[in-house]
Amino acid sequence: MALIKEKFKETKRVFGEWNVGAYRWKAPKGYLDEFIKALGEKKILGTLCSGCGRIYVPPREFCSRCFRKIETKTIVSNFGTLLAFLVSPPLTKGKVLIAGIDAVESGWLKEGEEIILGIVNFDGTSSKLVLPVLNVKPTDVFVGMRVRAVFSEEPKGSLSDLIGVEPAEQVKF
Amino acid sequence: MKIGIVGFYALPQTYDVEMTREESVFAAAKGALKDAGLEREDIDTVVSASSDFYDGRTISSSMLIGASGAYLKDESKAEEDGLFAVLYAIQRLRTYHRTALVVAHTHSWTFNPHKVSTFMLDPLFDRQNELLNDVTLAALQANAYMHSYRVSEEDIALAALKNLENASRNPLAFRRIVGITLDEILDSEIYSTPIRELTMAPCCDGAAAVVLAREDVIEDLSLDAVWIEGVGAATDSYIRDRDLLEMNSLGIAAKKAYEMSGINNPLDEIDFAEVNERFAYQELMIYEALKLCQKGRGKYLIRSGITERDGDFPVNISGGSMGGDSIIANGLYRLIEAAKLIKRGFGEKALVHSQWGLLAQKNIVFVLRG
Amino acid sequence: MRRVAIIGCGQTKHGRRTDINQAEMVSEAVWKAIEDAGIGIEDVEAFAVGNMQGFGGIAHPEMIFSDYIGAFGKPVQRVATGGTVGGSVAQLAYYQVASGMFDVVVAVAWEKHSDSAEPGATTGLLHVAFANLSYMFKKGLDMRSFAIMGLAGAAAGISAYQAAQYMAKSGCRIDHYDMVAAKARRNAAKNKYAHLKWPDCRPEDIAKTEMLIWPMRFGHVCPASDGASAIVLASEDAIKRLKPEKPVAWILGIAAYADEEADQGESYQGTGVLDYSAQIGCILSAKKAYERAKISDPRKEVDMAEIYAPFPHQELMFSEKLGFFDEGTAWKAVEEGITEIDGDFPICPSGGVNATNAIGSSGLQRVLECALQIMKKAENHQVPKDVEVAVAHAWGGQVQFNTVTVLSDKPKRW
Repeated sequence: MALIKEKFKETKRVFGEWNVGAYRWKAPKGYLDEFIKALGEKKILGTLCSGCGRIYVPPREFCSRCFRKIETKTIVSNFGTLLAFLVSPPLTKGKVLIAGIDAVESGWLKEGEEIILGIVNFDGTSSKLVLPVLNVKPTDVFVGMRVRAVFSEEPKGSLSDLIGVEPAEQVKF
Repeated sequence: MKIGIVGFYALPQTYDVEMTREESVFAAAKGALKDAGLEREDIDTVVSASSDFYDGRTISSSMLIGASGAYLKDESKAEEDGLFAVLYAIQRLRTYHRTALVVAHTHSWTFNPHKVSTFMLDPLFDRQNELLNDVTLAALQANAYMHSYRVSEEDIALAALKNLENASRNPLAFRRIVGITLDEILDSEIYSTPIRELTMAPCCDGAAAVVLAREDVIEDLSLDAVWIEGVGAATDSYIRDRDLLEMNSLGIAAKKAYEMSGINNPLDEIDFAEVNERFAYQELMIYEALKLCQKGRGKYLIRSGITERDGDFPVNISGGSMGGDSIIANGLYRLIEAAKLIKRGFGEKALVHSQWGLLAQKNIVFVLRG
Repeated sequence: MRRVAIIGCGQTKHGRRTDINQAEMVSEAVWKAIEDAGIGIEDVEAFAVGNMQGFGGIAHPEMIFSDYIGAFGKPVQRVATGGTVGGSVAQLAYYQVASGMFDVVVAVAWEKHSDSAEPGATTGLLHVAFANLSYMFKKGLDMRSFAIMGLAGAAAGISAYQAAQYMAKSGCRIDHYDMVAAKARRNAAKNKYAHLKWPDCRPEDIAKTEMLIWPMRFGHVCPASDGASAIVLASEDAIKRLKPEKPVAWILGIAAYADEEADQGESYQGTGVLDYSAQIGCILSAKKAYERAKISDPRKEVDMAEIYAPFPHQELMFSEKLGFFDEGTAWKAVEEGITEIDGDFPICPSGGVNATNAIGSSGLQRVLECALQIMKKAENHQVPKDVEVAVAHAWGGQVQFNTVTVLSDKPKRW
């Protein structure tokens, strides 16, 4: 059975839209705001599941494994291990487009800088965070490196009060 | 291999609910498991139902795995009315799995569901016409129906009155107007003639879950079950390609469900029904498609009082969609209301119906037995 | 429980298809599959459909073209599970038939990325995390942090983090990723339906492409294709009745376990997944699917695999999780050419998802390609060895959903 269709190179276009910006969502109370408050005090907050003892960072309301609500919040260590990392090439204009805007041209990222993104597991937690690895050369970064959280000196009460991580003392032998 | 509903839970329908998606789904899933007396470990498979466009999240089930109890479980997600997820769960139960959890939700507060209905239109012609949406389309169908079969506005308003009265007594319903009168309905705001505020379902936030199991598990664990005797589903053509004067796909679906459950005369053999009538006039068309009366004579069934709460064949004792339409979860609310009534001894056999798509393009029917 | 086989396959040419719209594209695949199966539309009893509707901008599109695919009056069930939607559709169709409810079913999955105004399906992808991003902005995410997130996120999402973690654990090098990507494009050149064809692609060619963020190169990233694929499934009884002329491909066992989100929860919450490359869901799905298919030693009993790998590291990672190689050693097999089309264990002879990625269709294509190989209908990209057992795999969501399907040329293993 063949479709009867004249062969046009291109279909005609009609336009439509999906007003993505018109959506509204709810967020759990008392989790991310407390996390941010703790960042302002140079601390990292997580939630501790009373069933399995796992600590989730940033704080999570439910433990999938135990299928229960998590009530306890706890401060976790500022130290952690680098599980893996990514390195951007030296940034230039025209390469990093975020929602149509050039990130280097608008000054959010500096021209020529190499950004190292680390997958960090803070000690004692069962979660990982992706954070910039600061104050180190890309060639000196290695998997398993000990890192320490770096907080902003002037906390603004926002997520960026946790700027990233930097190398902590490595065990030398 | 028979399948039974062994547990269920539905959250009270509201608007602008003070819960996140995750919290609602978790509450529904947890509640259904508790009702069944089972733990998450006892569940073999989870089928959830949610829609990306209503939730505003591509892959809407992605961040609900933990909340729906599906962590490290064989699971899938149906993207339409929750009753289709139940159909999928039944197919799974008849194959590998012994117990299933079905959970569905929509928070209408997130985004105007009537706007989503415009996204369901054919993009080339209908969507370019800015007047078309599910309400105006319903007006077109209602007008055609009223004109062809000489159905009056009052006939339709009587169906809405019955359901709104019933809803006012239902703690799970969203729109509860105690002491509602026919005049109030006929005076309510016109959205698109003849569709009025009180003859159309109000979109709301809801989440519901059911636990299903195979007959051998039900026997082994001595669980209470409401049995699913028959199921049928069918899809119609797109709105412009079909006859809008009848719900053809519902007729096909009902026939299948009746055959499977050995029903020849639904009006006699079934005790009550829970149907999803997004617009009050649709209830009359549903009666006809379910073969409760002949084509075009739904108005007589309404006026006779047979489908009232205390009639011979009550329809929508819960208030139906007039009491609240939580979109994807709607079908599950109808199923749960019917199961509740059966367990209370209200009747032995019930019919549950839900629809999906513009002007009920898709329909699914279940026949339950206590 | 009844035995189920694929009796017909159909797919459209994948690529940037501005010559047809969604309805025409889907019906093309469906009618090809029905024709290939040698049946008529009246034999089809139900449909299983799926796509990620956000990309094409139409909500529940199968309602619009129900007549185009012959679904009028029949039940149509829709599923959507992210990248693995095609795999989920195939599994839904399997359940529809195996449960005894229907005898002959058509499963079709598709995607039309070019309908999205932004290139590369951005709106759809963005909406996976738009709610999280909105929330994070409300809580004060500055543009610099957002731009840093977008460095890896824009191109590959969490797959970039996964590539880094897999490399850290297994000890492979970025050259191995280049080798896999080159193989994908070479194989795709033999597949008339594939998108990115490059007949003599070598790893060095991939290595010359721009580095997006180490270890992810531009040459590693899959394209955003348009395409539809469809298969016809039938029960054992129906096959006896319909008597198809060509050989059929039997589905021996399936499983679809879901893991927790790999990256973050609803509102920027942490998850309990420490290792993006651990993929417990895939390991469990494979174990269960093999159990149901009565396969005890996948390495010996399986002949080839179609793995859902939009990025090359995933082919290595998942081939280990599916049990074909020991943990951390898949890259050695690539070096030795074992996974080439004429190798001992061909992986993705069709070019795989790295060369053709129409998100909805890709998962189903993996099942379809395995079926083609078993039925010896893969034409130019048919593997030379006899294929008795093939495994199709797909992942979706935050690399958390998995579907594993085991196919064979016989209805059962002893």
